[in-house]
Amino acid sequence: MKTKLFLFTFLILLGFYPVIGQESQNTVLSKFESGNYTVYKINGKKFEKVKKAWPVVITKSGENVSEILVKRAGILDESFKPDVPGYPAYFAFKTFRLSFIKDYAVYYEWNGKQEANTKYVLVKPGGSFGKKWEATNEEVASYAIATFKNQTNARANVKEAKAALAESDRIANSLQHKKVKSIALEIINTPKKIAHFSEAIDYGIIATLADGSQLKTSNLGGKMPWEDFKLSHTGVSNTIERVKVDENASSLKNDEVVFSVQSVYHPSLKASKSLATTNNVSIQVNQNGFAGWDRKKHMTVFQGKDGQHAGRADNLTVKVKSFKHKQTGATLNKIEVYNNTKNKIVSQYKLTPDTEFIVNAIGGYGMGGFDGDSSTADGGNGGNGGAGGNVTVIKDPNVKKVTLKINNQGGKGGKGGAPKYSSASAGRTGSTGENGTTTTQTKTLQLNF
Amino acid sequence: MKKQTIITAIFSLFLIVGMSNHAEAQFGKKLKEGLKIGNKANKSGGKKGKKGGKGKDFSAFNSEADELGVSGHYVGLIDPSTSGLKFVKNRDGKLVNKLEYYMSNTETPDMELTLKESYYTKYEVKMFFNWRSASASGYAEIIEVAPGVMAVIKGDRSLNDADDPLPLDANRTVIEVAAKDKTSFDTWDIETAQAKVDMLIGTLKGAQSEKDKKKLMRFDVYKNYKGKIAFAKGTNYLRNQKSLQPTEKEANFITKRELGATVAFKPYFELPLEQSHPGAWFNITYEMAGETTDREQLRQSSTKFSKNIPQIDKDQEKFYFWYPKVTINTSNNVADYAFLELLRKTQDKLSAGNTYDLKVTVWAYKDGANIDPVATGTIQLEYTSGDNGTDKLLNDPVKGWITVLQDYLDE
Repeated sequence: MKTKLFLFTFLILLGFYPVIGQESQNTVLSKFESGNYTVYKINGKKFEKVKKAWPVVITKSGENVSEILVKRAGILDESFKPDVPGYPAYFAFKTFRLSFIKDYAVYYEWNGKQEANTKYVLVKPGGSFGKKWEATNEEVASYAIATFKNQTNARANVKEAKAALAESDRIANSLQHKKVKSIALEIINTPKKIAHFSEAIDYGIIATLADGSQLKTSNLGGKMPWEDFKLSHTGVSNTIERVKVDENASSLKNDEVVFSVQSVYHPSLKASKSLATTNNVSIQVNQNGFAGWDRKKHMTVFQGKDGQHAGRADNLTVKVKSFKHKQTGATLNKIEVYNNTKNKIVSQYKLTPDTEFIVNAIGGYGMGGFDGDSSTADGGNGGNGGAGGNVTVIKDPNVKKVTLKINNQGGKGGKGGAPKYSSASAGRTGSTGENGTTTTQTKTLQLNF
Repeated sequence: MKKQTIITAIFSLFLIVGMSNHAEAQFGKKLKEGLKIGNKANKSGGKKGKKGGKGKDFSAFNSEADELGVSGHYVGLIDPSTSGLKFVKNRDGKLVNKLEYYMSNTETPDMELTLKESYYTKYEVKMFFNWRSASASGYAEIIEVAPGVMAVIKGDRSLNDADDPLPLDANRTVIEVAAKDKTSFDTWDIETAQAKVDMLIGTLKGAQSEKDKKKLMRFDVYKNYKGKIAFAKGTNYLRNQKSLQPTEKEANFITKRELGATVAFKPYFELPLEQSHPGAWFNITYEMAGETTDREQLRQSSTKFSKNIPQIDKDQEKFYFWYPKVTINTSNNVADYAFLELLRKTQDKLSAGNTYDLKVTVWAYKDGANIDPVATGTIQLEYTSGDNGTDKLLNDPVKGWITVLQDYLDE
């Protein structure tokens, strides 16, 4: 009978313990009052009673504790605020935390490993404290971790409150449930050059309501949400606030970039604005061979004293055809770079005849040989440079001018390693790769972009 | 003759070495003394002064006319010996603002510290400092924590500019408290002095942060991107060499990129995290095609993710990440596992020829939850077609990003 009673009591206590341990600070603090608390500070790993008591002021707002003011040594005010107002696990002041447990408060630091580092223990007026520092750390940490798990609802409430605030702000500034007369696009900065790789273009939206008032997007000084609009820009990225001209000319069919927006809540309201492209930003295309030190990224290598040989550049075909700008009538060139080695189109651009277009098909640079050491006194040989790519330029007969520069020289060999001793030999410098050939042809071309 | 010359040379060498060692020993001793008020007097077993404590009597300094009110006879808390402080505003007709520190006698100061004028004139913080050598151990600092109570501080940084004290973001540790009146020690122990120093430094930091922000606003990049994330084709486009000088060119920022190619990004903050969210660290979430991945959530979900997704607990004191982050970096085969997990989760929803918005959010993260977003940005990712397009980059049977992650998770 006695055993059963003991077991029953034990189970009851076992069942109760976590509940007690996971009470929120609001509940725990119902047993605490403001007053002069006896303080134990940590000295090494032992607690030591501080001469002067510290005043602690507990401020409540309804059922919840809204602030714990600790007057450190009676002179320094430290205002601790609840981590989650409805269900606090601790009160925070800068990086310090304060959690009340049983009849004392633990003043501690917290780290990313979920560990507590107790600095002080504040005991109820007239009380004393006899726990060990390590045990106090463990106790407060397990209390905090357990309470964090119970904070789900309170956190959700805070999240909900924040979301409600954000939603009311959104509604106040949104076109939803409002009578709207029109929407208009405003380009904030029109760059001098509108071309592949030109500067970004900033734009915003202004909505005029039926009562004549206006709502604006944030970058025009308003708060109208971008989510109110569906974007369908062409020739530029389909992004809010700031766009960049597409890098591939295939989306610039009419030689203009077009900003188009549509109201989500009033689908009949649309606005668009277009800007003719200027096609005058110089471009450089690199299809160089890999460097010797990168050879390991391309194949399995055995690394000894000698530097690795570099890779040869890919063979390319550059096709050029002239046409008239669809907006301005000026002559432009369509330029396509095709990688014959990899069988793929590298790039398609539209450029003015005077805009420089550089194609690099340079052989990779050989890797330097290693210096001699005590086991092998001679320096290692430098790796050979890679060959330049062979580039074929095909111009349509209608091309009068194209500013094209082809760089397809062979890569330099790597330097030989230095000898360990003067009696040993330096490594040989790797040979320079062969230059690639450049062939120019004139042929009627079809470039469909 | 030759032999004699050699002997003379060796003898001279010993003499030189001996002298320099002696000089070093003296200097080293002084350094230590500089950081402990009254240490020397204590060691020399000086007599008890009039005002209590061992050592000389500097009580004559109490009557010094001193507009800062710091001159006087002091006693140490840990080392209960005496020392004197005398503030000298003008010397030889010049404004100097020096604090003379006396320990061994009342005539010649053992150390002279400089008042950081702007901290006093703007914020009434009385901070005095001295660099005796370029190393951190050669730094001495005294801050008045209350009238007649001084905190003696050591720092953790070596010299950058001898005319300036330790930077505000350095660690300052109070190692001694000195007071004109011994009864002050009932209130002022090391920890309380440290707390007060932290408060004063916090005030200065807040003011410094405002100044820093003003400086940053001169740069278009910061002005246009605070609270946002900039994207680029490589981390090199987002780096800068000097602090508070974001010289990266906006022209190199991108808004669209091939899915599977390198995307580097850098968030710019309205305020450093340690000010906007004290005690928090950073988290990053990725959203695309209706799916979201969260670095911290993934870290908690499995040891594999935990091992490969480190906490972002640096840069809390900065207005932007010092080192940009990447979703994927093909040049060194580095990727954020949270982004790879997003690709794995969305793979069935993505198809060639389409473009997807990737929203990246940097959060203030604390106690297992994202508290507030501190920077957001969206980039369009284009699923390219062709043999060498996105499909190959993501699903190559050996090297594809999704393949690599899936293989790792299946291990």
